[in-house]
Amino acid sequence: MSAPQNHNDQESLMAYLDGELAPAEVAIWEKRLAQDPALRAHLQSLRSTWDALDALQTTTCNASFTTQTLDAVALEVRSRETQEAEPTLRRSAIGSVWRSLLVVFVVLVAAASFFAVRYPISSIDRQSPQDLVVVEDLSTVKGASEEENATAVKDLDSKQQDQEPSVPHMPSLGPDDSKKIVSWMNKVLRDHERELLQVAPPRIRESIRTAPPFVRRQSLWRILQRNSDLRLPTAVEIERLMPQLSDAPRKQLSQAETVDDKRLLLNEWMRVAINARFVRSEVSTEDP
Amino acid sequence: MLRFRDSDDATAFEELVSRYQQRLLTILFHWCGSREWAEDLCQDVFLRVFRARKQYQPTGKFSTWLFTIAHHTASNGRRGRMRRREVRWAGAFGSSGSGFGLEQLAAASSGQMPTRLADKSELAQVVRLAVAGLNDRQRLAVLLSKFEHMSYEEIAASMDLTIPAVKSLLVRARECLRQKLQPFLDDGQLPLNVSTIPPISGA
Repeated sequence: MSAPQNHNDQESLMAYLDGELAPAEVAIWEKRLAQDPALRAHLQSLRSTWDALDALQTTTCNASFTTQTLDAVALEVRSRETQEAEPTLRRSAIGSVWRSLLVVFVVLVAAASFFAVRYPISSIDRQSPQDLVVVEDLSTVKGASEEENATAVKDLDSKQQDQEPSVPHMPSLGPDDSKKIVSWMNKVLRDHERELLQVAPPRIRESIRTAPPFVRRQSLWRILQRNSDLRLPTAVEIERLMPQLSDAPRKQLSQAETVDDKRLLLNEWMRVAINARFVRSEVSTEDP
Repeated sequence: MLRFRDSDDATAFEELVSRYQQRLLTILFHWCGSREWAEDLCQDVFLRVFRARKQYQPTGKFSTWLFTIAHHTASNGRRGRMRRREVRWAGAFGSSGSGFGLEQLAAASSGQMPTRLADKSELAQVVRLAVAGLNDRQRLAVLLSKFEHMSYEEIAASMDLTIPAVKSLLVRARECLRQKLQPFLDDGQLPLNVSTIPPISGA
């Protein structure tokens, strides 16, 4: 006998190879193999082809793949939350007359509360929510009222001021410089949006395109950070920023030897702004 | 997984992704033959894991549950691509067992090759071709058995099949692989078009 002709025997021999047989069945096969050289040759042939599959490469994940996967999940989840919120509101509005009246009542109360709280807040704070461009977590602004945002911005602003002096790269960077750098970087991101989207994982491209402007800008910023081979921002763009800065940061930037060093410095300045969870500029009103 | 399911702990989810992404990507990559597509599928699988986290029951191994989701995601992905007619060889493997096979190629003596590739690289390409010649279900069963060391029972659970069906799939797949690989393993006979197929990059 050589290779088993019977399908059951073939399955049984394969199970023997895979260690899936009961001890009694193993003993039967071992006896048959000991008596039949052709069967042994067939078994060896199956074994060697199975072992040859080891030549298939094990796929390695590059360093950013995990983050890209998590970003994709986060963006999808946010997008779903946004989509799900609308039908929920619609369903509740279609309810009974009493439910409709309740909604109207809630709206009136909310409006009254809004005006009651809005005016005690200083004019600067009232403007702050409009200036939000980059927000680390969409949930911090989604669904929040304007005055809640204003309070959050105020808190974050004070946190940012507390944090900035402790950062060694920023001893001489004033609030105006921060604002100008962020505004400038937003323009860089906008100018290179297509290029940055091309290197984004295909899975999240559409999510980025349809995200709110500040989330989109943040996503593009992350892509830029992770793709240093794009060599962005360009030397010309960095040169454009220089005259806008005050003396100390301009000097610090001009002393950086290479364009890559300048990028690293700017990267660090931007990171501080992102770590403070928001940055202010006029750009939020530029996107449709 | 349980920590993630019960508490929605983002760190636990990140750990989960880190721990399983390479294994998952390897299976998907060898299943579909395209790195880019495999990465898309891999991200899709983790997204589905996230969505389905509350339905996870720790009755078996987490990897079995993960590869069940992967199997559905990959099958749906294949159907979607077929509808859009995006499936083609070179970027991706054929969609059926008859779509690509070494039997279609004449074996060539190694002297006809302009430059012999290193043995290991040759073997990898021949194996890749042989695996590509299996149909989708055979290929997945082989990959789960080989790379994930899954038992028949686990493969059956992952692929929504019965254990006898898995055995039958594996017998046919193994025999197919044996017939295609044995000439190369015995005599170094190289399929004619191995040198024309670009090695898969990015693995």
